[in-house]
Amino acid sequence: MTEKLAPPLFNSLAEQFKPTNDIIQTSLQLKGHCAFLFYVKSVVDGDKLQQTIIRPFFEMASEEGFASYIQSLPNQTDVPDYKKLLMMLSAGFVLVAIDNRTFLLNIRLVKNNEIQETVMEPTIHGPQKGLSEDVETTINLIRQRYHNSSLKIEKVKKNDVSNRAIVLLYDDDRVDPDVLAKIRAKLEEINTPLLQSAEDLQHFLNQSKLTLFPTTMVTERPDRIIYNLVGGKVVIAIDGSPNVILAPVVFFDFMSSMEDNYHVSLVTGFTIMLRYLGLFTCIFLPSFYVAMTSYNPDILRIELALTVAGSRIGVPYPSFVEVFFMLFFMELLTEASMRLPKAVSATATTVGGLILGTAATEAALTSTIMIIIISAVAISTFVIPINEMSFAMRITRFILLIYTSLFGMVGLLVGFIGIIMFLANKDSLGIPYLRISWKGKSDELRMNNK
Amino acid sequence: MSRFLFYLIVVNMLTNMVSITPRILIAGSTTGTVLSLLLALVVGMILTYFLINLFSQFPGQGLPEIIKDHVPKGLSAPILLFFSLTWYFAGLSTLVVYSLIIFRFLTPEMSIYTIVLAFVVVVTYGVLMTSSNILYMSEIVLIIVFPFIFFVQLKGYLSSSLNWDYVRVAIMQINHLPSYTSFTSSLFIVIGAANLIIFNRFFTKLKKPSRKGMTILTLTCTFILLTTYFLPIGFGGFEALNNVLYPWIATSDSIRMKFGIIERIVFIFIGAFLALGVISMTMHWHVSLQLLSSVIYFKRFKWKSVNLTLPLFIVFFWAIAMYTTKTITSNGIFQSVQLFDRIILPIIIILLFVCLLAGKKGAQSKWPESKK
Repeated sequence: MTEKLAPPLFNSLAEQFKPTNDIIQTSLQLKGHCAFLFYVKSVVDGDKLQQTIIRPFFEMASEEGFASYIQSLPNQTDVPDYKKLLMMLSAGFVLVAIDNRTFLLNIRLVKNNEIQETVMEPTIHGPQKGLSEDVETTINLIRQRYHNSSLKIEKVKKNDVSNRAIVLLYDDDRVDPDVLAKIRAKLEEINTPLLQSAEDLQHFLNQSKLTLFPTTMVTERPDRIIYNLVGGKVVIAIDGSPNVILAPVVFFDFMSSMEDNYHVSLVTGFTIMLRYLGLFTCIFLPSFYVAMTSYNPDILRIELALTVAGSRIGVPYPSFVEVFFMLFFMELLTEASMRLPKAVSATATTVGGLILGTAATEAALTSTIMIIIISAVAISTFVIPINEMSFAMRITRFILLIYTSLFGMVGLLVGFIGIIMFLANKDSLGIPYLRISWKGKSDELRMNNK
Repeated sequence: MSRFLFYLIVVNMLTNMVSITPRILIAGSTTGTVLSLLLALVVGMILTYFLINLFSQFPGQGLPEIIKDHVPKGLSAPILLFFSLTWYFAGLSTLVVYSLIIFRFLTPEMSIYTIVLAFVVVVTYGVLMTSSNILYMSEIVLIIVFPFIFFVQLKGYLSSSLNWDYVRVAIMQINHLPSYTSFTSSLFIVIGAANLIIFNRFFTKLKKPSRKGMTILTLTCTFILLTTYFLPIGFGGFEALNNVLYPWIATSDSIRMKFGIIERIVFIFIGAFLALGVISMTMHWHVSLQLLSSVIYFKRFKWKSVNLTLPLFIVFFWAIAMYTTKTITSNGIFQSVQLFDRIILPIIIILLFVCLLAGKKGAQSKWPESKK
């Protein structure tokens, strides 16, 4: 009985992987039957391999029977070209050769498939679990909430180094074909050596180099994803990221929380109103203070104007320096408390917020009213439900502040219209970014499906 | 009727509440303004109806595209240039009036250049936007501003300082024959639909004006036109108001909010109308710029694949605007707006109708040919 040799493909593969230690090239032999296995140990599920391949081999009577058994396995795929094969092996596929026939089996060991808690967009009502870092699990989570054959899943391969899977999900009946074509073209265009996460990909999907407002949305909430799928949007998921990208989006998407759907109408109305008032406050208030104190104190009623002027007694510089100074420290504080470990961040906020605030007024570096305004601004920034938009608004605030410092009350008003113009002039993949569509919820969900 | 059409008309109407028009109307209060107002309303609505009707036959086309094929180029170029100039003047008058108002009432210590500069940056950006985006933007600004304007007017009508006797005296002047100046000035207020000359590019599905749409439009126009004229008279007195430069500013300054954080209504009023002024300026200059570039366009004038024709025009726009704002007097702008309303406005309207009818006729005669 002559010993069978491993196919030449196996040897060249092993050559390619050398000097890696975790590749396994082995043969199964029983009474003249022979099968060869090739896999990377650390990414293959050992138990499953044992259950589905190794044990059946020894129970089968013939090579023929084993080959047809392997062929009938649900996780069997065709052997692709050499380059792709290398990539798939490193992702956890097992190559099986039986009597000049080779099979590729998906026995991946995925450790990052647990479902994450929602961190970025927490709500009191509604689903509490987000997506998973494993793209298969993410697709599973979405499919399990949207049982519809029109939900299409399309893999996009990018030639970046990490060879991650990028997946497009959309409802074929509802999606706008132009938008879909644009997204495909955009993904095609991306030519970057490394893509790591949804945020990373979003960055490359943005149209121009200098962007302030996000034109695609990153989300972790399955309910938001389903809502937007029904609304005809495209979801882009990337392996290894617990967030997905929604496109195209409009400005009002960033001002909506999923919780709006879970409350009674008046409560929802009230929270939405609060949110927009918060938005106006956080953009307007610092600039308004500058316009009030330095340009037109006569606009306020006389008692208030006197109170403001009185609290500024002893402050040694003009109001715009004061506002910049305080805003700068507030931004530092926000940034610090985000980056620091939880244990230290409490100290930072106490020292920064309480001590610095009090001391700054006592030292007459700022007025007490300024402290109130800054706190109000800081709080109202966090009312904006989507993080990216509140980051953008933090910068917008500074732009308006500069414009107001230069031109006074006129600058405040005209600058504000300028911001609206800027937003209205933007588009997200051809969809106007800021326009009022006067659509009810049912209309919105039946978009393009008339 | 598309809601954006309303915005075109309403923005034009509201902006003129603050500018020179009320003064022209009040100056003619003893010589037939009241009848002119009514006449202008009727004529204005009929003209608006026909304008929309005519433009609806050229879906998605501005005037340059409409007359391109049917009017010889030697004739169409001067016509478009003329329209461009007039629209530029309309925007310029808004800019000058608002700059003067700001200079007088809001920031008297600021240089007039700085005030104009505050508009420059934003309006330049706005002018270069696409027509559709300008309309989206104006919708949002109108929604933000409208409650304030409504509030000011409501406050005015409910104020105890409003003396209805003055209004009655003004109405009694109805027995005078309409005066030409008052008529054309009021006509200018209601003829905002003429902006379709370029903005029709946005309306690809413009329908003929419906009865409901025209009714709402007529009611709005009537209310605003009558308020523009009668409310200042009710506050300022029938004869005394003749000497006031900006009747509406004076009027809104007579109203106070006793418990408001902002006590003087005039600041809310100026703020709201400043926003509208920016929109109106953007619209007018956008039209002007588009008309101008349809006649004169330097294809080779480029810098790194960005064509510099439009920026060049804008530089001219601003240079002229700066110079005018600096040199013109309050009386000067009053005289020139009056002149514009008296002579140029009728020419614009007639010429616009002639062009549209020529385009329509050309399109009709061409249609059977192209079918063969």
